[in-house]
Amino acid sequence: MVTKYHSASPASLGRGTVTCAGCGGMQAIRQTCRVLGEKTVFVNAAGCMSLLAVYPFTPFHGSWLYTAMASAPAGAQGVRDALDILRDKGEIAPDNDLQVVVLTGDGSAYGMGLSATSGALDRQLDFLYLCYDNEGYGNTGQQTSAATPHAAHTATCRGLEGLAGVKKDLFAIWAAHDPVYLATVIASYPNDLARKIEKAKQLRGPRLIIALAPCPTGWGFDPRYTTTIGKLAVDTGIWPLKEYRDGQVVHTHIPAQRLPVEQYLKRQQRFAHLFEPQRNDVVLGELQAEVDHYWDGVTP
Amino acid sequence: MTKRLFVKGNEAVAMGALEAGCRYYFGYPITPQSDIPEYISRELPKLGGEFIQAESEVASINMLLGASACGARAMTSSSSPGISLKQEGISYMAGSECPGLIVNVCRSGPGLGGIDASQADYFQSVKGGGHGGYHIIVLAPDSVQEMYDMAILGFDLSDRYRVPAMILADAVIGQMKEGLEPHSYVAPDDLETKDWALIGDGKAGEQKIIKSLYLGDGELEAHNNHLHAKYAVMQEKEVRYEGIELDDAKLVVTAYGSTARIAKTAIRLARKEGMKVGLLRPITLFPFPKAAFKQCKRDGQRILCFELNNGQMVEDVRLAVRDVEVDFYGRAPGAGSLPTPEEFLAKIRSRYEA
Repeated sequence: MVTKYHSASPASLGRGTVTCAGCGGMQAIRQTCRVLGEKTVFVNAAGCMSLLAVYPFTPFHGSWLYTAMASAPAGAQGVRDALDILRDKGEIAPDNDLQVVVLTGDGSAYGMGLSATSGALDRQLDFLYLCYDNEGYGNTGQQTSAATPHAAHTATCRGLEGLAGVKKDLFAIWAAHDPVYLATVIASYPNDLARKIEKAKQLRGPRLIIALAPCPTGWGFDPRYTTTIGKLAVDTGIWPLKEYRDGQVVHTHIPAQRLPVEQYLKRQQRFAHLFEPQRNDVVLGELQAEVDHYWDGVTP
Repeated sequence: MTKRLFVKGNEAVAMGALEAGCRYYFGYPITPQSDIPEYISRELPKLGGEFIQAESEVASINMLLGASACGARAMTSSSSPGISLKQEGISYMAGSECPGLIVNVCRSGPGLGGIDASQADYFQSVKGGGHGGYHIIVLAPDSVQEMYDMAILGFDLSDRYRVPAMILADAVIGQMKEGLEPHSYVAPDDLETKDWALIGDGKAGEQKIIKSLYLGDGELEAHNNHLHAKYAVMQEKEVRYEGIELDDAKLVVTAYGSTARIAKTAIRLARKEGMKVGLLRPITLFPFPKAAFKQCKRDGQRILCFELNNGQMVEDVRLAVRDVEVDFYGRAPGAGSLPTPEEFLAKIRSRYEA
């Protein structure tokens, strides 16, 4: 299937946003909106993107609803149910129905929003969840979140070896609920992203997308390198592009020859302590081994 | 010479808490208080303490309940929406008589609101924000120094009465930098050993049940009466307020926290114009300085209340003085800017001359 997104779908996101320059989350949302079109209602929990709807004006053409931090999928349940009733009564034409899109960062998705997401998946709610994952609470100054990777520095984790814990495997947690569709994406691979959103758009039921969102402000790199950092995340194997459907996980892009993870890490200030003042070969080795171990279990 | 620092209010409250012996902090990021967990995440491990960034405010308040139940000095901090999430846990702490310090660097609401300074959480703080009809100690600092001092006072009062204590600050007090003279903590003589606490195997054989569940006939009623008897003692012994030029005042301005700072300048300007105006600044919002306001009534003074909300504390002032007219001037949450001393002065002038 060939889809010309530029001409076929009016972008549901206008120009001019208040996100930081080079925001990888914004890139992913923009590309997603291009596929989804205008007939959307975003249900949002507090995060970087909350500012999009309010200050000083919104780039969204679609609608927007705020919920409490833990509750965006619950809010989406209410919206979907109400839209369904209006459709049944004939008050909304099927053509005018809205895609209900939950939009949250990793803080909500990986943390306190999990319970509400689990409930929505349990009820087979017809919605699309887009999580922009910048691996920390970016909007409040990049404190640690459950998505923060091993060894990274954050505003609340400044030890010599960075975060002791590891990034939570949200993909596996969500997959365990057997949703209709689940995928990881990154804006640096726009065709892969667009195909997945297109696929999700055609389906009904819970559809979940985790977009790794390179964050110049929180990760510490020049905004002009957002796309490069995103490509490195994939090419080093740190961010596997994959999807889950009908009980199967399929990798949609397998790097022919993975680059060393160091090439991704050394370009970000949050990992600078692994290189300066002394190179920490132990932790760098752990991080490489973790990625190698993951890909050892992937069959092409 | 006393060391003098130039720090944020959020850092000062964290420093005071650590000085008071707090070794457990459980929190979650939210503007405008994230400097508190950031500071404590750096400093507490050096003292052998435990910093946990929880998965939610609900989790962090219940971690505080757990640490408190074991007799530890522990704290959490947040800002308005996060404090709302903590309310159930605070109610459990109040019901279980577990002490602990909760810092609310208040922002504007309702809902997600905004991140600017606000005093819109007064009702929630002083009336028992959760279910069940309880009170907590509520302290209202108006400076960086008081953020430090009240962290210490909050822990002491909370331990003394086994009632949770809250510092009700706001974005101005939390985010501004000014001079701080830290001082060493000296534990009050009257603090009792926490022999009620769960300490695992420390007292083998002794069963401790910390609970807020009472099912026996009359038990819960007796428990509630016991809690309210403690509040009555606090009302008698722990009221704190600052009075400025009250003796000859014809008009008494009342305000707390950041608003009181603006009011202080306004009454100085009013005095320069020859108006006899004083300030009554509640420091403890619960227990509320009712007697001080009753004295204003006896002295025939008019009262003018300033707040960064649409009128909350003014209701407690009116209750204290009953049939005396109390004027109010407030700025709704989210005004985006603070009132100026001149703005307050204009209100003082109009009430003074009325």
